[in-house]
Amino acid sequence: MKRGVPLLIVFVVGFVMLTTYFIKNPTLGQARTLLNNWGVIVTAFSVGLASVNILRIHSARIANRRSGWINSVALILTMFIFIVVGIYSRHNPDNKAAAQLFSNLFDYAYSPFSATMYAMIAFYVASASYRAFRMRSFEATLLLTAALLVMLGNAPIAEQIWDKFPVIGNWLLNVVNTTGQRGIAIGVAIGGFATSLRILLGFDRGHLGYGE
Amino acid sequence: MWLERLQNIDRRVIYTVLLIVLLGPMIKPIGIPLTINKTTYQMYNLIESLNPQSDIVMLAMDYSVAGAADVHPQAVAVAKHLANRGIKMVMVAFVPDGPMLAERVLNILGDRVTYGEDIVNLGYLSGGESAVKKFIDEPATTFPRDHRGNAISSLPIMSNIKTIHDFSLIVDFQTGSPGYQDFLRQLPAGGPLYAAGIVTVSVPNVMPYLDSGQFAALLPGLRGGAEYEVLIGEPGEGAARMDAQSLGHMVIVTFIIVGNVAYFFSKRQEKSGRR
Amino acid sequence: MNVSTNPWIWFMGIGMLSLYSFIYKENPIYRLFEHIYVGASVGYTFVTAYGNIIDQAWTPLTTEGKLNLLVPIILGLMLYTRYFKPIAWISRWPMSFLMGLGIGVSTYGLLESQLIAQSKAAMMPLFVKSSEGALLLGRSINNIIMILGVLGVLFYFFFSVEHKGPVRRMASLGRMVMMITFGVAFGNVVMGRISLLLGTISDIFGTWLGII
Repeated sequence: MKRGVPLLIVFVVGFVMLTTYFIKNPTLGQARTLLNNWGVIVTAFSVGLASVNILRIHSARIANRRSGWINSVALILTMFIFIVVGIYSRHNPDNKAAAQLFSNLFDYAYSPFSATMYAMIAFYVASASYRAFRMRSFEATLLLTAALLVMLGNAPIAEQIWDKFPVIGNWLLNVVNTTGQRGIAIGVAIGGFATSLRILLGFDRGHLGYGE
Repeated sequence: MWLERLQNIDRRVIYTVLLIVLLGPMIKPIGIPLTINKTTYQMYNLIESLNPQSDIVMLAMDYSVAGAADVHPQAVAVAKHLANRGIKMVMVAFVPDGPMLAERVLNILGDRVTYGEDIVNLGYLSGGESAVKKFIDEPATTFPRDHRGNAISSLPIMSNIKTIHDFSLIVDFQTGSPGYQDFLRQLPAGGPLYAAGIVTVSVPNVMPYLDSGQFAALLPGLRGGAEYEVLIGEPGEGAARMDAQSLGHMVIVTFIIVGNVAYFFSKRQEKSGRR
Repeated sequence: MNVSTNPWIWFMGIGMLSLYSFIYKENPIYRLFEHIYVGASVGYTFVTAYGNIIDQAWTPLTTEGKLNLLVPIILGLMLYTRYFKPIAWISRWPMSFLMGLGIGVSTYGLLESQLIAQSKAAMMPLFVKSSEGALLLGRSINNIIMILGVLGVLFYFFFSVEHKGPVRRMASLGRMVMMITFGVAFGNVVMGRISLLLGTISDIFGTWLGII
């Protein structure tokens, strides 16, 4: 029940789905559609796990008054504001004020904060370029030169300095990079297929977690 | 001594230089001419080749707010081009942020389109690749209502959609997964053409698919969006940021060169010191 | 200078600056807005998932009587048993369902679109000729680079034979191709991060402070 059934589920679901690509049969086709539709719903449920996890961790922090507990209050409060306003406006599409409030929360809180968290990396990239990106070996020199030429090829101002920068940059991207990425893509496909088979046949059981 | 100091410059100095270099041309644009790349022409010509009477385009809004600065200008420019040509658009999202970003595109399009007739924002479907597959299998019935809460049956544009083959082209604006891999794996043979508007970071990864013809066209990051804006004659936020983008590249290139020159000479000094 | 008077935009601007303050030094204001961001992100994602559960499962089940949808609803709820230790093993069932489904849905397409299509694309003529029969030197050189390069990358990851002699030479060619590929990737990372940074600069100095 605890390990056998999950392994059987992986095998049966995976096998049925795969078979439908090779055998055109209406019953199998229906089974595939049904299983896939179920998958969409189960995935939606899985999203809630993150909320529950966050809620558990931060409510414990507040209850124990651990350091930074006030931040946890802000987190839970923000989460609930989004959830309450979002669900209310979903069930009341005619309420323009609720829709506008949700839109504002998205546009002026979630969206810019998310963008900032990712954009911040630009500063670290700049710092790393200066301090860590060194021609220590032949291969590092290849990497660095390619990076420089691609950046110059994509900067319109560099094109004004020498009109061959974009030609070189595009050649590196379209020929050498395509070659490398293609080799990696083929390798990943073979590796992905092998891993899929291992999971399907029960040799790889990492997804079941450890313990009994 | 000065080489050592140059190598160990405070990181905050680097941050400040980068910020000033980027901010300058944003406040006062320089107007560096922008050359249009072949891939952008490819996308433009592809959309020009569509027939407004019979063709419907699916816009997959698969980019997150985190990467929107890179991809959103592309989505706006392509949507404007399609709207100007009178081609119908169905917007679908397989990432949660998609429908809200689609609403931003709709706000910019304004009177160019009539919602429900020329364009629709169907909303978000969870499930990653399974969701992509579900929509490809049943595009007419996957969403019972659109993002704004209208019943699908009340939207005239959706009466034209029965199967995925009713779309002539899919333009997938994306920052990650689900994205091109999911679509390429699930699209049936002989199905609609697939083109991608992709975040700059992922451009190298997708080049083999453009080369093999699995992509009908590709718009690469902010630069792709800026070039597209210029091509349709409506420079927007993409084009406005290209000067700063350009100087940003130059400053990073300078950082790398200066850092390496300092490294090279300090190494030499070290060697001669040992002798 | 035309500073915004919209309180939402002020909230956005202060939040973004607070998050950016991290690049100077970690501080309490950064931590507060970091928590608000996480709360917003989890809350927003929860709302979208809720909408999917309602549209894809609950409404068809209750209004159209699609009883088969009880299965994914139960599977989805089973995911939450992981929070109750004695019955935590039950959550393996829906996880296994998702695993089997993922493998079943993607494997065929993986082989077709990534392995076969990319292998086919790598099989290109070594020497390209124009319609008049003249050798196109540039394209021929590119094709030779692409064919040898892909083989080189595959050899690099091929550990079933010892890397010596011609195999070693091919593998080192593959290594060089990959270094250039990674250089191109780094160049694109720099460009991408600067684009994102420009987006936030536009929000702070344009939308909020009205300088741009």
